Amino acid sequence: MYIDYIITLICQPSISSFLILQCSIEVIWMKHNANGSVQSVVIWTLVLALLLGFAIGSFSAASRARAAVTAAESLAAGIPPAPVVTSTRYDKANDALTLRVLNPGLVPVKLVDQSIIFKPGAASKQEAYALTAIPLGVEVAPLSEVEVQLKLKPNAEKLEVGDVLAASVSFTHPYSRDLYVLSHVFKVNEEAAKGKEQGEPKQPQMNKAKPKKGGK
Amino acid sequence: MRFLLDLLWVILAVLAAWGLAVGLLLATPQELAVLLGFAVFMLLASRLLWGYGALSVFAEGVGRGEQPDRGQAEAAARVPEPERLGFAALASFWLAALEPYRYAFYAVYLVLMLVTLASKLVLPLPDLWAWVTGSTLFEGVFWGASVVALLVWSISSLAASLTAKAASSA
Repeated sequence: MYIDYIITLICQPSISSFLILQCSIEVIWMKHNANGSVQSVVIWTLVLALLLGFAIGSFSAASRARAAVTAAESLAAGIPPAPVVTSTRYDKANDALTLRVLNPGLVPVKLVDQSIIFKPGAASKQEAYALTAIPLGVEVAPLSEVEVQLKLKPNAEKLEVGDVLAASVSFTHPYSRDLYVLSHVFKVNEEAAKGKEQGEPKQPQMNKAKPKKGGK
Repeated sequence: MRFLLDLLWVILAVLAAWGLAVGLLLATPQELAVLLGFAVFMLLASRLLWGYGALSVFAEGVGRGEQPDRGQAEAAARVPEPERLGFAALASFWLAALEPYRYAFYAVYLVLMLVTLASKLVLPLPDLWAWVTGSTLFEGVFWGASVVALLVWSISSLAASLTAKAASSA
């Protein structure tokens, strides 16, 4: 597609210069057409046919490149690029919740801010709390994944089994001025409390970077 | 043997129809515009193409010193008593009789060229890609017509040079 585009950019000036060339050749031709031989008619016809074929070929290539770009654009516009959380990890050392956020769409989305609601389980000594509207400002490129760290409340107790964290991330979309919210509930089980990554069950088959080892 | 040849023709026709159908299905609107311009200008030029073609054959025969069939030439030359003319003079009158059609063809082609060029005059600076791709349907018709214009130009030049050759050899 991009090769077509480059070819078009190179060839397009030739289409207009071809017009000028054709006109000037015809003028030159008319000047000594009085004694124009059959051979020179044939040769000039071949030369002009070659130029004309080049021009029409690049015109056709341009139209195809344009069609490909239009198709790609309409495809990109047709996929709603809501970011999704593909896995979550409790970062014990930094007292943070790390979300891996995938943008499956073809346009970038911007993660604006984050909120966390903590609800203690039976084993926890920490009281319930909520942190809201902590600025984030992360842009997720199309078809790519980023890690987002949501800091827990400073000086809070470590997470215990049975705790529940409801994380929400608000994001904006380039085609809209609305603010969208992504909510993710993280229930702390034994593995999660140790800092093991909790992946969502179904994942797209994509080439993605291996998640870094959590904890220590 | 004849049967095999017929079969080959049928296979060729089927393949050509298949290729044309697929080509039309996959063509971009701009390519269809080229086809449209080509087809319509071929209709416009058909009289010229057949006329100059027949004239070329006639004048070539005259130039070689032969005496080709005068019937078509006498009908086409549009002079009061064509049977009194010599072969080379008849070819010249035939050439002159085709001139108004050639002029009309070039006039229509030039109008189309002007419309195409005029549609390219405005340069949308924020988006040059729009200039490259915009008003492409007119341009497609123009390119299709250009093929026919090249055919007309070359076959009229050919007929003119063969007529001149016939006149100088007479």
